[in-house]
Amino acid sequence: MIDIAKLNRIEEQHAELADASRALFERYKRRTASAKEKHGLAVRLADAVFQNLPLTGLADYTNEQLQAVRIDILTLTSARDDQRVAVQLLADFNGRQKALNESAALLHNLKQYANVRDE
Amino acid sequence: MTLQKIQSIRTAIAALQAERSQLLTYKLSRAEVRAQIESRVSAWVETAREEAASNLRDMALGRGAHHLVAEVSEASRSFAATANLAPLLAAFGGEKKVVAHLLADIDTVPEGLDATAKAARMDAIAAELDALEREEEQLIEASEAAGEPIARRVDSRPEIVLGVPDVVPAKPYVKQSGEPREALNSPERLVAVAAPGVGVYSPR
Repeated sequence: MIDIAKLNRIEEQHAELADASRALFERYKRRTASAKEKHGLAVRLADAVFQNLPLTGLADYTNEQLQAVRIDILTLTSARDDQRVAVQLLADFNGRQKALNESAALLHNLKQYANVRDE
Repeated sequence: MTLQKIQSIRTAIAALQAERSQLLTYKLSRAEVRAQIESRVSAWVETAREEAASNLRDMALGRGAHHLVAEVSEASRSFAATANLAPLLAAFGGEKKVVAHLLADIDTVPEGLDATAKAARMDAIAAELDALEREEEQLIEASEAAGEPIARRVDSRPEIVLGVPDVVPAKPYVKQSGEPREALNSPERLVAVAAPGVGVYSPR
């Protein structure tokens, strides 16, 4: 006699695994998009900031100009951190995909067994 | 702790599966291969002796003799023609020498088991795998119940994962004197009756 309740439970676990995997991939996509956006912003800001910074007359640099440089560096740092997180998320996702594929293969076997036994 | 226990069970399962795979891959044991070689060489020597005797008799009868002629098979679409030199080589080289040459690398063949021992070992492996896989599944279930799910092996056997202990057969019903008829439909008796559809898997 087949334990149908258990089969249903395993199917639910597989669905949860798939959901978690999808969520991870969404986080990876969001982080990648964030990193890209911040990087673009930092580049544009750098263009604007450094074009306005005179190569001579360091003493004349205003606090606003220096603050803009600081913000640019912070934006770039944040973009880099986002990208690092995205790389880690992608590695985690790939790791989970293996587990998900194995879970799918096992579930397929279990269903086939249940159906054959049923016939 | 449970995970460690499961890991050690899985290691044992993998070892048994590998052993079974090797037993299935190699059809003959080393001893059986050795015996077959010895038997073949002996047969070749005998064939060569019979050929030589036959040729001698043909000569005595005034017929043409074909000493030291190797038998050549016909070529086919799949196979090229081959000359069977084995009887001649065995006859000239000597049975022991040819056997020694053919068995020079016999150590590269796994020791293996003969057919009877192999069948017995296969049965033992199957029984050991059954016990180990059931224990593994019990540990996985216990871990799951404790809120720490552990992924099953991708090659877990469905009959182990989905198997349920055999239902203990109910004792035959004996109506007690003075017992009302309604007792026949008591919940205790009906609980053993399977509901329609039980045992049929349908995707949800």
